[in-house]
Amino acid sequence: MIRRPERDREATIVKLVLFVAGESPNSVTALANLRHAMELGGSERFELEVVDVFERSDRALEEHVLVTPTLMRVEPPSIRRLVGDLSATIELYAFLRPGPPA
Amino acid sequence: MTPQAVQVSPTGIAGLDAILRGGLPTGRSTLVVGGPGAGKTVLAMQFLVNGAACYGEMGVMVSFEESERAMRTNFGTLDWPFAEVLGTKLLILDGRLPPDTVEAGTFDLAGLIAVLDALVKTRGVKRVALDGIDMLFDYSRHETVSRREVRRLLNWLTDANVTALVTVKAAEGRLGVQSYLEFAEFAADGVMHLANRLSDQFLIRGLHVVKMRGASFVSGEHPFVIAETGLEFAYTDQTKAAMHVTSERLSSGVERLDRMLHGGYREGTVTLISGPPGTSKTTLAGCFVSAGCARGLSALFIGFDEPVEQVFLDLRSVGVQLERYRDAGLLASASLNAGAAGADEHYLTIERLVELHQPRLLVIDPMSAFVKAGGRRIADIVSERLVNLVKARGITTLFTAVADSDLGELESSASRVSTIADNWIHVSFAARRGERNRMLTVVKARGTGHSNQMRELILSDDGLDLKDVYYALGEVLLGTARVEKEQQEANDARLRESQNKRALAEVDEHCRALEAQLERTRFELAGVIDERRRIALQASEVERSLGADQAAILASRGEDPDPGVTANGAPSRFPA
Repeated sequence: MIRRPERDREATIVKLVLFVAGESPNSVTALANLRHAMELGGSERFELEVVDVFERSDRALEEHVLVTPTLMRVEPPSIRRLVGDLSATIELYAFLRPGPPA
Repeated sequence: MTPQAVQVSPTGIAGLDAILRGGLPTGRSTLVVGGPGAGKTVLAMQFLVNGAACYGEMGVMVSFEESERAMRTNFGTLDWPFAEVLGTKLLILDGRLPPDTVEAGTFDLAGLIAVLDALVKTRGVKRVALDGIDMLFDYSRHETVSRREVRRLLNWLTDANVTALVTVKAAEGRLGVQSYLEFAEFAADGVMHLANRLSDQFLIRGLHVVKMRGASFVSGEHPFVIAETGLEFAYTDQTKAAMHVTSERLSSGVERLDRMLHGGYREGTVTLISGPPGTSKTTLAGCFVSAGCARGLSALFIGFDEPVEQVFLDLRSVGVQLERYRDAGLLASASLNAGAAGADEHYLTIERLVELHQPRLLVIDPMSAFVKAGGRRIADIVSERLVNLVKARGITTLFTAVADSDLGELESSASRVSTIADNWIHVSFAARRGERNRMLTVVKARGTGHSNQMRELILSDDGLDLKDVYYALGEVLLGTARVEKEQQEANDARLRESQNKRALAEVDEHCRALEAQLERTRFELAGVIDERRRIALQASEVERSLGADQAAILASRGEDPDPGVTANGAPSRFPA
C-alpha cells in the first residue's frame, strides 16, 4: 500500500455517512463492503458515521434517504450518492476516491 | 350501535362516498389504476386534503412520479384548502431517488418505511397516498427487487393501520396494471379503475370499483369530471325512487300553524325548524310526530346529544305524549352522540335506521349538531345527501337546527339545509319589556301560499299554540304586552258595543214614544173632530129651532138678529 505524505492525508480526509436499516441483509452487506474498501484505501483517511433509519428517521427525512443502504459523501462534498449493498465495487471505489467535488 | 364489518373513511368526494357506501375501508389499502391523465393523483390528493380539512386526519403523500414542487404548483391553484393544510396536516414526500443516485447493489425501501412509520407514530398520520408505485420499477434493474419492495410497502400500510390510496399506471390498451404488478391488485383490499376516453369529441371520465373487500359499493362505471375542486361525481343516492312529494298535507300538530301552512306540511317535504336553544323547536317536532302517529303513520325520532327518553319526558310536560305511540310500535327512536363519530358516519347510521324502520315521518333533532362535525364542506355534502335520502323515500321530514337569534346567524352547518329544505320555520326570542317571548315565522314554504305574519308561540301544559301578534308604533307586541293589548281591545269593544246598544235603544224608545204620542194625538184629533161635528150638528139644530122661534118672535116684535153668532151657529175658530 502506498503511504502518502502526512499533509496530503490531512487534506484529503473523506467523511462518509452510511444510512442502514438496522440489521437487514442489504445493510449488513453494505457495511462490510464499505469497511473492506476503506481498509483498502487506508482506514485513517476515512471517517464513517453509520445512521440507522429506524432510530433516526428524522435524519432520513432530512437527507431524503428513502432507500437503504444509502452512502453519502460529506467531505469532500458530493451530491452523488450510492444506493444498494455496495457489492458493485467499481462504483464504490470511484465514489471513495478523493477528488474535486463531483 | 351494531359493529360494522368494515369502518370507512370518507373521501369527502360526495358522489364517490355514495358509490363507496361511505368511503374507503379504514386501515386498508386501495389501488387506483388508470392511464396517464386519468385523475389518479388528483383523486389521491383530494382524499388527503379532505381528510385533513374535513375530518382532521393527517395525511402523507409519497410521490414517486412528480417532485414536491410540481405537486405544490399543480394543486395549489385548485379551489380547495390545499395551502391551509399543507405542512401541518398534509405532508408531501418526494419518493423519487435523487437524480445523482448510483445503484451499487441491491437495496430496499427501509428508509421510506422508517420515515412513514415515524410520522404515523409521532404525528398521528391516518391517511397515506402512494402516487405512482409503478415508478419503483425504474429504481432498479432487478424486477424481483422492485416487486419485493412494492410488496413490503403494501404490507407496511396494512400493519400501520393507515387508510391508503395507492396509484398505479394502467398497462397500455387494457384496464389492469402491468403484469409484473398484478400481485398488487390481489394484495390490495380495494381496487378502483379510472378510465378516460374520447367519445363524440368529449373526454369521458369514469370510475369503476372493481373490488372492495368486506365493504359494499355501487357497481358500474360512474362518470366524473375534474373541476376546480377536484373530482366531482354525478352520482347521488337517488336511484331508489323518484320524488314522492304529493299534495297531501300532514298536520304540524299545531292547529294555527296548519292554518298558516294552508293545511300543514306537504307530504314528502323537508322542513327546517331553526331557532336558538329553548325556542320549542323540539316541541314543534314532537307535535308533528304526535299528529302523524295519531293518524297511524310510522315515525322515526333521532335525537342528538340528549337521550330520547329525556326528550319524551320533557315533551310530556307540555302535553305531547309520544310514549304510547312507541309502545304501540308506531314510533321508533334513537339517541346518537354527535361527537362520537363524523358527520358521514352519522349519515350512514341514519340511513341504516331509515332502512330498518321505513318511517313515513322522520325527525332529526337537532340535525345541526351532527353535521357540523367536519366543517362546512362536509356539512353541506351530508345535508344534501340526507335530504336526498328522505326525499327519495318520500319521508316527510323535520330537521331542527340551532341558530342564533337572527335568521342571518343560522349555524353555518345548517345553512345548506335552509336552502334545500322545502319549508323553513324560524322561531326566535323577542325581548320586550323584561320578557322573552317566542316568535314564530314561516320563512318559506314551497308550493304553499303561507302566512307571512309572525305569530307568538305559547307553550303551556296543554301544548303549543300560536297567537296573533300586534304591531304598535312599529313594534311587535308579545307576551304581557300582547295580553294587555288584547284585553284593552276586548274592553274597548265591549264598551263600544254597550254604548251603541244604549244609543240605539234610546232612539228606538224615542221613536216608540213619538209614535205612541202620534197615536194619542190622532185619537184625540178624531175625538175633537167628532166633538166638533156633534157641536155643529147641535148648533144647527138649535139655530134652526131658535131661528124658527126667533123668526116667529121677531116677526112678532120686528127686532134685528145677534151679530156674535154666525148664520150656521159654529164657533169662529173652526172654519166650516
